Parts: sequence; structure tokens; C-alpha cells
Amino acid sequence: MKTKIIQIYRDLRSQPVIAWVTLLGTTLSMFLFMTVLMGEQIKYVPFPPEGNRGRLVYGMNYELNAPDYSMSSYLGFEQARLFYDNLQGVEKQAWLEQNTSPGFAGSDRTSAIDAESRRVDSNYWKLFNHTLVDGRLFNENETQSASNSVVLTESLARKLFGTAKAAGMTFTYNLEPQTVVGVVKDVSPLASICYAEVYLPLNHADTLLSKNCGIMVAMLPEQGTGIEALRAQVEGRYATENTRLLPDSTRYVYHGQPYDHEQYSSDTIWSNTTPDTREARRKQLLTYIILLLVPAINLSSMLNSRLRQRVGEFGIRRAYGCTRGRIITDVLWENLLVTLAGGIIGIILAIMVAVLNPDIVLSSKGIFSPVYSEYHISAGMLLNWRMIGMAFLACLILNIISASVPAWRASRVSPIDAISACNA
Amino acid sequence: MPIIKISSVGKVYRTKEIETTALENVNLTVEQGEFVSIMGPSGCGKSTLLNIIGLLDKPTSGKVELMDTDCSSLGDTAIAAFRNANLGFVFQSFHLIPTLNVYANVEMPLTYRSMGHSERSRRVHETLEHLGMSHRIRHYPTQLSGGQCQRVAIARAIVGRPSIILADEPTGNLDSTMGEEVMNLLHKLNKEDGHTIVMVTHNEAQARKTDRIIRFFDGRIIS
Ligand SMILES: Nc1ncnc2c1ncn2[C@@H]1O[C@H](COP(=O)(O)OP(=O)(O)O)[C@@H](O)[C@H]1O
Ligand SMILES: [Mg+2]
Repeated sequence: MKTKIIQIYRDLRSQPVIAWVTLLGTTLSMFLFMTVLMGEQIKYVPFPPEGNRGRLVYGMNYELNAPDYSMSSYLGFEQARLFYDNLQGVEKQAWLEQNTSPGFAGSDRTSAIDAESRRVDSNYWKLFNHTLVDGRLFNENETQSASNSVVLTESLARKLFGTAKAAGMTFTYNLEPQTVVGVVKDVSPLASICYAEVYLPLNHADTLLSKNCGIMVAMLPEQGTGIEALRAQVEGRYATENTRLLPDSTRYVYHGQPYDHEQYSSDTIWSNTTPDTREARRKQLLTYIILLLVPAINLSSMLNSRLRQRVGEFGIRRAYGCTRGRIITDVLWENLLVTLAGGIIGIILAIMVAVLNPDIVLSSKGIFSPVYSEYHISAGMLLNWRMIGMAFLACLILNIISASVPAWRASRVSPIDAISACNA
Repeated sequence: MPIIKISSVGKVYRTKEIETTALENVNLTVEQGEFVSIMGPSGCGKSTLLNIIGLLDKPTSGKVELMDTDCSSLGDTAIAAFRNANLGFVFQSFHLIPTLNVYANVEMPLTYRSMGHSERSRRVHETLEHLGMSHRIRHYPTQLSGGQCQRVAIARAIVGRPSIILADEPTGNLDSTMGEEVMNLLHKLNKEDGHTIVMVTHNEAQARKTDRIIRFFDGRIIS
């Protein structure tokens, strides 16, 4: 191994221009690849408070067709209860507002601080792992009594009270008096299900709210219950409800609810269609292939000219008992080390850029939206096994595409030709 | 019992325009432990013959038997293994791998065997010691004189303890003193270690010191 690394180093040093172009090319292509990958993955990978992304399923949206009107919309309380309450095989479920609402904190409009709020029920805190900084989270009593207990994020608490230790403090939000029961760590807008600055209690029995609040039902299936089992139940409930509604020929149209996180984040969530993740995956795969194929072709010709210098070496190795297959695997291994060297730099660079300037990563996938002023990506969100695995897989694929043709060609040289070519 | 047996071997090189007959009906046997030299004018087919004996090239016709094995019928992988176990090569221009140091160059043939690291290391050190090159073990080929390069190349040829050493003009690129040294080394390997050696040379004096001279002309053995 050590011999191999020294040899690679000396080989690269003997052709400095090609060596640099190879390394920089690898670094750059892995940088681009990772940037696109991160923009995509940030939608799926679990990070707090959406640490359960892999397991949670969501009941959301409905479409209703009546003789004289039809509507498709966010879930109302009525539909949430009809279709998702007490499904079999669900360990916990929570209701939460699907979107945040803008608002302001402070008693007079001019000095008020803008803050987005989201209504959530008490179960919400069990499905999403917010980090508590001070106080506690509101409980079932508080949600049911429609109390004024709220939870704030750390930075909003600092803005309002000058401290994150704000439990017990009072303030005015949208001209209503509120009591802070707890403070949680700030939530990245990239966690789009959880993001908010003020969390207000959501009362399942609030009739006023039920008219103008679009919610979703987050559900944690029991270990061993698949999403299909839940879908079957929900579809059954749609059918039952439609039978009941039959006389006035009003019908709910089922669109494959509940959805998993991949569907949720696929940009194909509409209330009147079933989200299509296959199309999204195809596009994604195609992007990745192009992102790797184009640099691979260039790296391939670099490697080819590096190997041409080593024809004599391969000839002599063959004379001493090296098989063709061994030459191919040796070249692939050597090149993998070079690819990894360049690739790891590219990966680190991409993560650094993502942390320092997230817009670049996010805009690559069109997530960028001027609504939120502060997108923040932490290295922690990106450094998970799935991402690292995909990055190394990309290096491996880049290596195989770029090195297999040159390696095969190197293995085809006959030993006498190689040796005599070096004599001349 | 001959260790090398070449029977009616012919070799024709065909390109689009011309056909070159490099060897024509060559018969040759070499006994175990013999030191044979091949002489003849340039272009008469000496290297071609050596390549065929070394299984680096296939004859157009005829049969090659080495150590009682009919090598004409072996497949690629079997030939590679056979070369690794039984043949050592020494070339006019050394053909050391420039990006490897002396140690790694000599170790190379052993890396194609299933042999542990410590055993390989022991063999390489022992061989370099034997050839008086231990003090240059971390040097790279460009840091060595021609004679030293050829010693390293010989070390590489014998490290796997092959029965047969094939040397194609091993002193061709060396001055007379260095050439002398290399020749003494080959004789020592032949006498003391029992390697069978087939050597191509243009040097009449060198050839005369070997057990037998085979004279070649125009693809044929003339004596
Ligand atoms: N690869 C080849 N293609 C065509 N002709 C070749 C090739 N190799 C050798 N020859 C021809 O075969 C003949 C013998 O060559 P060679 O064995 O190298 O001679 P020597 O080593 O005795 O100088 C020469 O005429 C040479 O031109
Ligand atoms: Mg020759």
C-alpha cells in the first residue's frame, strides 16, 4: 500500500500538468456533484427537529367534488378527524398547521418584531425532537383549554427579552397577550414542516380555528406497520364517507394519502393529484449521471496519457507473471486513490461552501425563496452516513467510468511490444 | 532430460504489406544447468526466439516445451503463472520501473504470488545481499549507474528462484568493466545456484566462456 502510494505520487510528479488537471478536475466535479446532491438531500435527510423523517407519514390535503362545486385544499379539522383519527398501527399522531402564519410580537405596530407562528398540538412535541433551551413544552391541558401558553425560539426570545431564559415572561403576539412556557433552539427553514418562531397551541375542539386553519396530520407508525397498511385504511374511510354522501352525490377523491417524507418533499404535492416520486427520481438520477459522466470523459483522457508513459512498466509486469485482469484492477485501484484524494477535497469544499453560503446549494435546486431571510445549513445536517455513502459512491462511479477504458487499453498491450517500444 | 525443448518452431510476422519470416524450423534443446549463448547478425531472429522461449510470444508453428510442460496449450493465466514461477528476464536496457525504488522493483515478481509481506521482504534483502546491492535498496533507478541497474534487474530476475534465466544482450548497454562484472555475476548464478541461462550476445569473448554457442543466421540455426 505504501509502495503504491509512493509510486502514484512519483508518477503524478513526473507529469505535473496532467497531475494537477486530474486532481483539480476531480475536486471540481465532486464539488459540483456534492452541491447538487446536498441541495437535494437536505429535503430528505433527517436532522432535528425533523429527526424522524425516515419513519413519519403525513396525512394532508383533500379533494372534494360536489354537483355544484369542487374544492381541493389543505386538510380541515373535519377531514383530519374523518380520515386519520385512530388509524390502526399508528403509535402517535399530531396535528399541526401546514403553513406558518406571519405575525408580530410587541404591543404597538411600529416597534413590533415580525415573527412567524405555527399552531401545533401537544403530541407534536413527541414526534418532532426540538431542543429545549428553557422552561417546558405546552401540554394537552393547555392545548385543550385554548390557553395562551406559547413556545418561542431562542433568537426570538433574545430579541424580545434580551435572554434565552424567557420561561414565564409575557408578551403580546398579534395583539393577544401570551405567556412563554418554553424556549427551543432555532429551527432551520429547511425543516419546512417544523419551521416557526412562535409555536401556538392547537386545540382540536376549537370551532373557530377549524374553519380557517389548514393542517396536516403527522403519524408515527408502529414498528412493523407499513405505509401501505395505513393507506388501505384511509382509502377505506374515504369509501365509507363517500357512501354516506352518496345521496347528494358529493365525493371525496382519494390521492394515496398518507405520504412519506420523500413524497412530501417531491414538489409534486397537490391536493388534486397523487405525488409522483418516480419522475422526480428519474430526473435526479439523470442529473447525477450527467454530472459525473462529463468530467469522467475528460479524466479518462488524462489517465490515458498518464498510462501511455507506463507502457514499458506494464510490459515488464506482464513478463513477470502479472495477468491482464490484475493490470486492470491495479489501475482502477490506483486511480481510485487519486479520485478519492481529489474527491475528498471537493467534498469538504462543498460542505464548507454550503455552511458559509447556503444560497449556492439551495438555489441549485430551486429551493431558494426570498420569504425566509436566514437559511442556515449546519455541517451537522450534511454529515450523515447516507450523504457520506453517496459521496463515496460518486467517487467510485467517477473512477470506474473514467478509468475502465484506459485500464482495459493498458492491459491489452503485449509485453514484447511494450518492452521493445521502450528500447527504441 | 532437457529443460528447454523447441521443436520445428517457425515465426512469421504479418503486416498488411509484408510478411517477415523471423524463424524457420528451429530445433533446440537446452539441458538443466547449461549456460548457452546465442550469436548472430542483427535482425536474424535471436530476440524473437528468446521471446518465444520466454512465452512472451507465440510461435506461428511448432512446439515449445519447458520443464516437461507443453506450453503451446496453456491459456493466458496459466502462462502468466508459469512465467512467474519459472522464468527470469534480463534485457539490454534493464527495464526497471522508474517510479519504484530498488526494493520495490525487485519485489515486483513476488507480488504476483501468494506470499506474505515478511517472506517477500526476506527474499528481496537476501537477493540484493547476494548481488552486492544492499546498500542501494532505497535508491531509484535514475540514481544508479548502468551496471548497478543491470544488477538490480538480475536481482529481479532471480528473486522468484526461477529455473531459467533469459538474457537478451545483457551487457549491450554497459561499458567493458561493467559488462565484465555482469558476466561474472551470470556465471556465478549458473555455477553456484544452478540457474539455466540462455543469453543473446554480440561479444565473441563472452560467448566463448559459456557452455555452448548457438549460431543463428536468417532465422535458422547454422551451428
Ligand atoms: N513485431 C514485429 N513485426 C514485424 N516484424 C518483426 C517484429 N519483430 C521482429 N520483426 C522482424 O523479425 C526479424 C527478427 O527480429 P529480431 O528477433 O528482433 O532480431 P535480432 O534480435 O536477432 O536482432 C527482423 O527482421 C525484424 O524486423
Ligand atoms: Mg534483438
